[in-house]
Amino acid sequence: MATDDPATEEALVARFGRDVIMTSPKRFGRDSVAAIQDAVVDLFGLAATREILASASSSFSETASVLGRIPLTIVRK
Amino acid sequence: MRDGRVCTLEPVARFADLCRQRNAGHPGIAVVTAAVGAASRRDVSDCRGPLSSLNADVPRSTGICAGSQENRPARKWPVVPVVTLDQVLREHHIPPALRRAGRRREGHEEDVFGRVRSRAVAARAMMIVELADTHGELTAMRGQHAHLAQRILQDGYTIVYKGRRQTPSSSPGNCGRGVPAATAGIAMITARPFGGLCNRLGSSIARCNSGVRSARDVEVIWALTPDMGPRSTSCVEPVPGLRFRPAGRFRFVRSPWTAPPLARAAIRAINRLLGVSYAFFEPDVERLLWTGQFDLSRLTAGDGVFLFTCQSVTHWKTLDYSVGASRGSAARPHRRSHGALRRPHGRRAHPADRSCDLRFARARSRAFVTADRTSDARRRPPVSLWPPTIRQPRRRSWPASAGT
Repeated sequence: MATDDPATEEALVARFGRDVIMTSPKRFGRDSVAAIQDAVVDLFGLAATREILASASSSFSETASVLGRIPLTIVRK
Repeated sequence: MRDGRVCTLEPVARFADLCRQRNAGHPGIAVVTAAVGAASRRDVSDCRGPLSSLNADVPRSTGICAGSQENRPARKWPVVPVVTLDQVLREHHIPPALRRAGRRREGHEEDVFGRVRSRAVAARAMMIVELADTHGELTAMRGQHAHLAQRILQDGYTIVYKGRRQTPSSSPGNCGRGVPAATAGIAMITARPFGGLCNRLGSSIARCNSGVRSARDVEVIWALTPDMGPRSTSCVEPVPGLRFRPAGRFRFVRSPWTAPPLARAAIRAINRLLGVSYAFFEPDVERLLWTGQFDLSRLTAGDGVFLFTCQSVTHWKTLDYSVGASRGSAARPHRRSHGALRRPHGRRAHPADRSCDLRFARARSRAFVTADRTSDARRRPPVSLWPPTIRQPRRRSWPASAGT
C-alpha cells in the first residue's frame, strides 16, 4: 500500500490488517525531503508488485507501473 | 507531389484520424488505418505509443513497447489489420508511375521492401523509407536496416533527404539535403513542470529526451509549490545537459491564451525580453502543436522555447488504445484550483506513453537519485534508484487497535 493520505492508510489497515505491506514509519506531506524520500521508497515498492490498483489520475501509480512494467488498474468508487 | 496520389498508412486509429484532419484539403491523399506487412492478416499491434512496433526487435532494442505477453499489461489492445503494400496500391488505384512507397517504422521494412522492391524499381517509384540504421536507440534494428539501405542504393536509388526526426541520433553529415542539424534546432528548451514528484520527473525526463534529440541543453524551472516543497537540489542530482534552477526570472512567463488582448501583447513582449520566443502551455500543445498550427521544425537557432506542462510534447496526446476507449471526446483542459492546467479525470496519458522517456532515465543510470543531504549520507555512496533493488519487506505486526 502506498498512499500520502493518513486517513486512507488507516482505513486500509483497518480493513486488511496484517495483509497490508507498507512503509512504516512513513512521513506524510510534500514539503519535506524526508517525506519525498519515503514517497520514492513507496514508488519502487509499488513497482516491485505484480499489479497496481490505483486511484484515478494518479501519476504516482502510473510511474510505478511503468517502472515495474506491471499492469495498472484504476479503481473507481 | 502536387498532382500525385499519396496513400498514408497508419495503424493507430487516432493518429490516422489526425492524418485525415491534417490532409483534409488534399483530395489526392488517402489515409488507411492499417499496418503494412508481408502478408495480409489481422494482428494485435502493441500500439502503446509513437514507437509501437510489430517487430520483436524494436522492444528489444528500445526497452519499451514490449510486445511479449509477459510484459503486456492485462488490458485489451486493438486489432490492427495488416495489409500488403501491393494490396493498398491496387485498392486505391494508384498509377504505377506515381507510386510513392512510404513506410512507417512499424518494424517490417525489411520484410515489406524485400518483396515490393522490384516492383518499385520497375515503376521508378519514389520511396520514403524510415530506416533506423543510424538510430541511436534502435540498436537491434541497425544491422538489418543498414542492409536494407544498402540494397536500395544498389538498385540505383539516390538518397535525396534523410530526415532528422526519425533518425534523431544521426550526425549533421547524415542529413543529406535536409536542414543542417546545427541550424534546425532550437537554442534552449526551458520547462516548468508542475505537480508532484512523478509529474515533475516525467516532464523533466521528457524535456531531457527532447534536448538530446535536438542537441540542446534543457533547463527545468523547479518552482516550490504546495505539491512539491523541497528544492531540486534536495531531490535530484545533476544530470549532464539538464539544469535545474529555481523559479526566478521566468516568473513572468505566463500563458497569453486567456489574457485580454493588451495583456497578451505585454506578456509576449516580456517573454521575448526574457529570451522566450515561444511559450507553450498545456492547452497550447493540443491547440497549436497537435493541430499543426505551429510547426516546431520552423524554429531557428535563436529561438527559445518555454514549456509549461507536465506532459511530454511528443507524447502529450492521450493515448488510450484499449478497446472501448471513448473516441472523439475532446480532452478539454480545465483549470485546477491553484491555476495549473490539466486534463479532466480519466483522460490522462497511459503510463506507457512516457515509457520511452523513463527509459532515458535508465540509460542515464544516475539521472534521478534521491540525495540524502544528511552528514550520515555523505559517508555512504549515493543510492541509485535504477534499476530498483527492492528486498521483500518483512511483515510487521500491527497494534491491536489497528487490526481487524
